[in-house]
Amino acid sequence: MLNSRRLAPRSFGSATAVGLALLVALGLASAGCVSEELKPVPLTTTGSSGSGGAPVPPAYKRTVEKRNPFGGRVGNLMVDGDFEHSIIREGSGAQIGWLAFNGDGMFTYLRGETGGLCRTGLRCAILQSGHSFYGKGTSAADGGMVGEVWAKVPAGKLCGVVRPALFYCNLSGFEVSIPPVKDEPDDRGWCQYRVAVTGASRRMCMWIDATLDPGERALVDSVALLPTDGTAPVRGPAPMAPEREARVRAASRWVRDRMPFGRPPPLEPALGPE
Amino acid sequence: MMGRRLIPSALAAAALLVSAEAAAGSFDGYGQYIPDPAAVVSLDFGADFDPEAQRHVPPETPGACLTPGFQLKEGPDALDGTDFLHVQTYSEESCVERFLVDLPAQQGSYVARLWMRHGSIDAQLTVLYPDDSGLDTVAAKLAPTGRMTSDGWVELTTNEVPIDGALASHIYLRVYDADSIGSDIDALEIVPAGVYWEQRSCAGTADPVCGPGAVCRHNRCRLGRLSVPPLPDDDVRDEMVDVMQSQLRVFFGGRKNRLANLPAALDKLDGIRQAATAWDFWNGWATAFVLLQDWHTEAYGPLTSIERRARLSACFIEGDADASASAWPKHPKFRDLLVSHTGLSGTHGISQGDRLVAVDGQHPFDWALGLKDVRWSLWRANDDLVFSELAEHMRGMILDHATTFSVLKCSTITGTCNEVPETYVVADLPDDTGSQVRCDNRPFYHFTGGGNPSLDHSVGFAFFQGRIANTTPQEAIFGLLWDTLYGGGDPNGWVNSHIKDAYTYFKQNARGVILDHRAGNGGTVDASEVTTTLVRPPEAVLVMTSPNEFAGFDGPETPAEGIAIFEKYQSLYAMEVGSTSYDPDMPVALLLHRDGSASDFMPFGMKGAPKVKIFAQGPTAGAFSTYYQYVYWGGISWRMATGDSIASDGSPLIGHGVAPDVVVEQKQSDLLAGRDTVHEAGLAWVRDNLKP
Repeated sequence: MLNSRRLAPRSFGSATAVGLALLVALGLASAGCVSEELKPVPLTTTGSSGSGGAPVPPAYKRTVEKRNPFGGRVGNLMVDGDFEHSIIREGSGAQIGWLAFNGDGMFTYLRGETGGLCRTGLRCAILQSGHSFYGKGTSAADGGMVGEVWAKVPAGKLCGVVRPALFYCNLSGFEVSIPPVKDEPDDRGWCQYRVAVTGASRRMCMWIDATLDPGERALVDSVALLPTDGTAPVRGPAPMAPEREARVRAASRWVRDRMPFGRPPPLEPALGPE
Repeated sequence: MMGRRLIPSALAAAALLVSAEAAAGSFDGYGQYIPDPAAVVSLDFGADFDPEAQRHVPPETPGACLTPGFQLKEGPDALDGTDFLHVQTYSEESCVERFLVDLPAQQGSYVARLWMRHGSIDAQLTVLYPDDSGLDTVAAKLAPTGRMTSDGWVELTTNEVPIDGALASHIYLRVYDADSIGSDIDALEIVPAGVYWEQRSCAGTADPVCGPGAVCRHNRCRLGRLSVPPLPDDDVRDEMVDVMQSQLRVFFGGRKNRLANLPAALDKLDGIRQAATAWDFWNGWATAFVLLQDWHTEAYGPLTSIERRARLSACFIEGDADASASAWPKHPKFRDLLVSHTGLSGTHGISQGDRLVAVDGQHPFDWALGLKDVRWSLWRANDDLVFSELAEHMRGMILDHATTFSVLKCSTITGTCNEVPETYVVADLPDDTGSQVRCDNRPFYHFTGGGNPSLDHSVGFAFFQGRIANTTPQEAIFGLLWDTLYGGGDPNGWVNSHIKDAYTYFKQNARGVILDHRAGNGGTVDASEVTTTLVRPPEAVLVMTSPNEFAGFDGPETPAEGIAIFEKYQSLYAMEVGSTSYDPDMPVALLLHRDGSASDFMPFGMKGAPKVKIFAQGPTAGAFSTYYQYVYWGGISWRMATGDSIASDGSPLIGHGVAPDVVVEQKQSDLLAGRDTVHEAGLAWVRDNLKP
């Protein structure tokens, strides 16, 4: 049986301006993405006669844009700041840019979100309650860097529930926490975290955890570690809280012990052509 | 089959078989999806989708995958209409879902598009043909265009796919849920685009019959574009290439590779900014990784895992073809290629001790190095003088790319070889996907009793241990044969405990030891360190500045700078070899052939120990680093080496393999006489130096 698609007749009006206004309101005209030119809006009118009423927009609306699917920022010292290359097949133990650890400190699958739910690129990471992220990076030659993280926190929560920090990958017991720029998220629910560090003498990694309630989750995206530009507050290292240090130390040991010096199979599943 | 929607007007257009520009579906001002009017298949998973009829379950499907791994869902956030599909397959069994579609019963060319959101999927359009059609299965990956919506939908697309709708038995979208939590899919469209491309056979990579955009692999032309993501649009392409280059500049290293190889890779990436096709772009990207010439570094895609058509159950190693020197001259740069061992069948009459003299008329290594632009998985040592990796992969490359190969046949009875080589035409080898003997660079095994690996030379993660054959009990010469050093940080795990237990036994019972690690696959440094505990007192021999400590660091320029780095990191990243309980009187012969990474570190730690000699034809790979891994969409992933190791004398080690103490080439005459030249040399030295 072959069903012909019934393309619903669509009436077209002159509501392009509505779509453009929507785009602007959602802040999608920013750099790094290209908003798609949209077709005219189909109009439905109020009133039983079908004429003379005001246009009624559909109950559900979305915007469309184009982004670089490879993600990333040039010069980023994080291995995969945009999470575009770390959402891999479940169960793959891998030398990827981000690792996730659960509440028991066990290595677990890094779950991802997609598209415009993310801040940049096509993928971002889901930080589940009780979980932590271990992000791999390096350091600028002169040791001066700006660390930046974006997180979308649960509705009603302040930015402080997500707690990113920089630390030496080999773990010295010290961290530089990356504070939120503002206490409250922006109108899209995203929080920006920024800090500058100076004099880093070793490879830097990033630890991200959160004080989420059970069942809550945050999105994390657009993580960068870039040469300093003087626009972020400089923070010095401080001792990690003991509980956090224990978790970071366990994760660091996990990473170190499994640091591969060999040839693993490719990350993608060998499913064959059929 | 049912439930596939064909649009009559589009069918008529497709029937014209004109080259068409594929226009994607569009959106109205509220973001409501407007299907592509040119689509010949348009599936919104609504009322017209019949899951019972459209779900394709091949007969060989594992039982765990028989339960449907999808749910029909309804909601205002569907991309197309009000319905979408939630796909959630059982990843433990690599279960996939297949959804049948109908296409016009004629030859055509199409682009398939699909929107997905949440999680991670692998999506592919598959076309099956009956065996008697003479046509191969067509599989085209879907990868992102960069279009996406504010509510999470991401557009995926194939490149143009040639499909003979008259001959195809099944055409379906295959979806693999990579994370077990599921993803949503919607708005599958198949749109006429391009012109039909005839499948054809080919003689080898050098055969021009495949034409532009296609490559000959296993004697069939393969359309490159089916295995790569789409060509990035102009508005994001430069940004993508900038990031690709940035990843290499920031993280790739070691000193040797950065100075000698990185510039060519960056130039290659610059070139793909002007790529005209998806294949040119992504093949150029992958070729940049080949140009980095690094043991760990490699790009993967669907084309790197094509199933072979024929088999060649023989393994090649470098050596000295002393038995056929008069019949075929040596190459001025490369060693001779000998048949190390063969399987019991599928050998085509090739035997142990024969000599591979040419592939497509060239020395096999000259020929293999010419595959840089077409073979993403061209495996190279970091050390420029090492070609053991090419030799080990030679039979696979021959089956994959060669038109002919020429073998000088020899006799184990007379110990002599023919004067004229026999030339094989790869396309004439019979279809045969039977098993092949493993290539572990060991022509013979030498344990007494039943302690040897099986005849298929499968070593893998196994350990083999025993007394060496043709020695006396009084000599007490024992051996350990293994290829993995993956200790994984567990001192009592499989690998480390095997090595420790063997050493405990050797200390108690042996007067000499042969360690056979001739296919050293690396692993983790702990096992490299454990391997050295038999032979030397404790010492920090190198520091692993890997991954790289600083972005874009080219490594120490002087020994003094290197020594400063060594001293800076000695307390953090040192490779600590040896043990206070080592046996200073135990002679240990370490046999090497193709060894890299942790299997570089291990011999580096063994070298110079008071009673150790390394026997090999040449250096190890010089792959003194770890790596990062990355995954993209459409079956694309890659691995990139990062960092270096600095010896206590300040030397950066990447690109400089561990040289043997005793250079021993496998002699062809020995192979024909049943002798393992490298083993014999090691054994002779151990005998001369037995523990009192």
